[in-house]
Amino acid sequence: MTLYQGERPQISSGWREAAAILRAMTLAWPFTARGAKLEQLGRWYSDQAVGGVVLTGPAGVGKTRLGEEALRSAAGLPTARVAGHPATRDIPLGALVHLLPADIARDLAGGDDDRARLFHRVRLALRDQVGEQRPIVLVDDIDQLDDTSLSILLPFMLDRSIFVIATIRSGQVAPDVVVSLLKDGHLVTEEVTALSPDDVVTLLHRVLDGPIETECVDRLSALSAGNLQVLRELVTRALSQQVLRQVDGSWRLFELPATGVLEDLVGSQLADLSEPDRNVVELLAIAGSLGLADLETIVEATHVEDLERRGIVTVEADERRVRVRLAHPVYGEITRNQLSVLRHRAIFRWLADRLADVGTRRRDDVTRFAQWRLEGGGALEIEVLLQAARLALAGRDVRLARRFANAAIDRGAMHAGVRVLVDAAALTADLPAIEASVARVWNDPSLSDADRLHFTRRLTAATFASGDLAGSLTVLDGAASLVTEPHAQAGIATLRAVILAHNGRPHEALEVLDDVDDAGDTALRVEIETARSVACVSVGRFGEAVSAARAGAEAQARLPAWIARRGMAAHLVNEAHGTAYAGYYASARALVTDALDRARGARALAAEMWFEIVLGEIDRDTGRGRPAIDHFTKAVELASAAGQQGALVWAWVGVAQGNLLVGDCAAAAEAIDHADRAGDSPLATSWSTRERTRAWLHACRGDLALARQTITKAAEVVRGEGISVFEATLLHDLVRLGDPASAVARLVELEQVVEGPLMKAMADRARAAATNDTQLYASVVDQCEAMDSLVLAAEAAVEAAHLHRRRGEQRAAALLTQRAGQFVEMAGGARTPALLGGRGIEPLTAREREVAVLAASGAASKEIGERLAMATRTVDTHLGRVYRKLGVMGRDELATALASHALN
Amino acid sequence: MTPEQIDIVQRTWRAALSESRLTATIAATLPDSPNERTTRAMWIVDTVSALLPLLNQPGQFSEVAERVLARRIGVTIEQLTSDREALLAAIRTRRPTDADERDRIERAWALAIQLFGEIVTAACLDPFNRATTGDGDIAPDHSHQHLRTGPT
Repeated sequence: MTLYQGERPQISSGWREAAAILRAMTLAWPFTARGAKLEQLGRWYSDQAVGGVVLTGPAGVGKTRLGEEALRSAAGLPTARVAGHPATRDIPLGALVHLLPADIARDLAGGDDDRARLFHRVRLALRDQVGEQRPIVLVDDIDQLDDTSLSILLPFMLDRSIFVIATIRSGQVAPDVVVSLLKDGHLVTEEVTALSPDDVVTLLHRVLDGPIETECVDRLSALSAGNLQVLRELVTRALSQQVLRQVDGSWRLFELPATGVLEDLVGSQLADLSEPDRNVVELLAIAGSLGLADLETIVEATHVEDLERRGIVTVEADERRVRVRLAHPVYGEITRNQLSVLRHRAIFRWLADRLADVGTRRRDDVTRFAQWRLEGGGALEIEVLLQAARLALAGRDVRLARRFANAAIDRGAMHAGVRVLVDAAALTADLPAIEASVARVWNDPSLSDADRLHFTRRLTAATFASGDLAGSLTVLDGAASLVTEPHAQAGIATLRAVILAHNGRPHEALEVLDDVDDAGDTALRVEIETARSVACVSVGRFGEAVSAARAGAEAQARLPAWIARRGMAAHLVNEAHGTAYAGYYASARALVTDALDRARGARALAAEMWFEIVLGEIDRDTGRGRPAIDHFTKAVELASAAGQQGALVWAWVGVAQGNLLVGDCAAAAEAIDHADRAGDSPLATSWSTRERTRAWLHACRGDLALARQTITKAAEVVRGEGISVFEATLLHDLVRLGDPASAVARLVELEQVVEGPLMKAMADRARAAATNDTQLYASVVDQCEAMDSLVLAAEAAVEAAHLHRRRGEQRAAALLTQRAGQFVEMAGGARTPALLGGRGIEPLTAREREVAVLAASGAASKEIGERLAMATRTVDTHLGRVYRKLGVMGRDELATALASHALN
Repeated sequence: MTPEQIDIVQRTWRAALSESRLTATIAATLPDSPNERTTRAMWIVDTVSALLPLLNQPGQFSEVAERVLARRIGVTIEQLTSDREALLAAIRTRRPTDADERDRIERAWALAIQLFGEIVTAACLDPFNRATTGDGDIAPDHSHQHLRTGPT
């Protein structure tokens, strides 16, 4: 049977092929996949408790090769090789004679029959050869060793003066002496198993000295079942028969080689089969496996039993049926090779007819039926082909799906076939393949609007995912000009809105959505509400965003059961964003915490990931750095596992933000680095969020000017895009970084646009900071506390305290400082520039921390000096540095400052 | 390995080499002390860079590859396993979004590392402690030849 369907190329006489043939046929194959076993042999050799090892395993698996490699690795140590053989089994010392001194060998040959004396001489002679280092003796086929040789070796093994590596085939009976040594622990056993498919890949890569086609290696691996000897036989035969050849620099197997060894092996097993038995084997060779009930319609059960007893087939029972298959793939390969083309087709046809008679009861029956009909001929309806294609697609078998789809296209089902081809290409995100398939039908006026909408979805999604927003919008323009049905027009408009909303053009998205009618299509309603919710969050219309998210969820629930739950999490995330960004953190937290529990219970990985992200955002925005880091870190793990790159960027940025809240600049920088390495996300918000995080990293490192500059640039960009919610956050960051003057006017404007208590608090803080209004500051502290926004409350309190202090209002300042400390403590510690009096964080040294803690507990400088064995002046110097670093005026503020900055 | 898999490995390695933190990323996963980790990570980077061009003809050892391997006589399978994990972890930090592409990269690297492992094992494993260094330490590279040029 020909494995490669294409044209067989002309045979070339390249030197690489010649070299490979020579290497494979004449040289020892590279020692592969046995490094761990070799190392284990070395460990046993070093262990005086072990006298040797018995390597067991099937014939041809590589036991002797392992032993030989051990001798090679032990170069420099004394080694010897002994082989048992049926021909010398009955000859005393037949296996050891080559190791004996010439005089003893001569006496043996001369017929010295004083066995006791000879035995003693041999033992002494060998003992003389054993020096200080323990020799390694490879005993191949120890079960074939003559008894005398075994008896001679025994005491050496017992007193550990030699180390034996013996081999014995599985199923062979080990000599009693060996069994006894194993039982008493003098010898250990090590099983040598067949090579794994990956081991075969590596071995063939080395033997053939170049890349190999997957199909080639799969075939050789399956046929050899990882047996080194069979593999070598197959490869050398294939090379010599020139059916294994290099094509375009890669080795390809055109057909199975005729190998005497394999054919003899299989031939001897199959030669005397009765006609019914032979039929069963041929059917199974083609079908792979068949139900026992199906086989019993053509042969009696006794034939299957007979084949099972002879090891030619295996019978497996699952919950629903009993299936029969050939016991080894090599039976199938050899049998298929022996079948004529006509017999092949006849069997395929019989199988398909049989399936047609009983009906396609199982999912895979349709696929098998279509496959067999394609191979064997006979009536095959287009609908069956298309059904098989869709099933193959559902099973992610893209190659098979394409084959069926192309067959359907050949039979005239162009549009439906292309639909499968496009879906198959979408599975592998193969944009050129999607474009090529769509191009086959795009200009066909008979293409239905429904199909055109489907193709547009696929093409737009793939183009957008590739980062080409303009390209995806162009696709939509083209589609919009061709469709006429209202439903398809609405679908294309909705797609446009979804893309615009997710790519930072919320106003355009909302404009599009205003004109879209779902025409009663629930799936379309889901998309419309999703786009509306995302867009409304971006522009700060949170109430509308929440309503749209709920409407989306409601519509989603009306979809067919199999799809209703998919995507439900997105609506909840949108609702949570709308709620949290408005400043209703407690409600958002409750919503998502509950949903996270459900997602975990349902093992909905992607949903769990997004809920972790939202909870991380809520913790971040309320100032809880550590819990935020935990949530985002969990999201990183989930995003990695789910392969969600956009979310991965988001999550890493979140980890950075959490670390910035607690003042860990290094960890934050590392997390941003991870986010950058994870790539760009097509989600527009990721850019501004990342820039914002970089700005805070600058601030964390003490470069407030660069931080403000970065924030200002990002704010300008998002303002241009109309993403008001992020613009407001960025401008508020300017206030937090000590530049309220640049932000206040625009924040006041945005207060008219962006809804919710958070926006009001941000605008009020800007006003308070710009006008040094302590009363308004007090209101901001209260507003933030009411929202549970602890860090913003603490920052406002610290700023207000500074104002009071400057005015000499120490009592008010102390009260606000104390309040700030409480907020920071509730947040679990936070270190932002505003909390540090406008500077970057300068960590305390260990000594400064010791001094600060003692001073905060009320100890005087002299007492501290005595306890820490330093001069009072030195204590005061340390304290001076501590005050400067923490931004406090004296000891009375120290305790709060230490708590605030989580120095513990 | 197929030519496509070799191409994937060589391409992703070139991209990884362009990162300043590659050695640090590999070192972070290794179990040794900080200094040893860095030396070992540098050896891994040098070795992969030296062996990558051999993927198309693994039998054709270059002088560079031989010299790199000669610096690590006495390696253990356990060390090679942790080397492999560290290398894979570093490659995984640049995983693409698409799950299929990610699988293809993982598969290609798994096979490449297995091949490298066999080559390194053949050259560096010393089960009976015959080598003079004998402890798997990495000898310093006195060649002063810049190896990190990547596959060509």
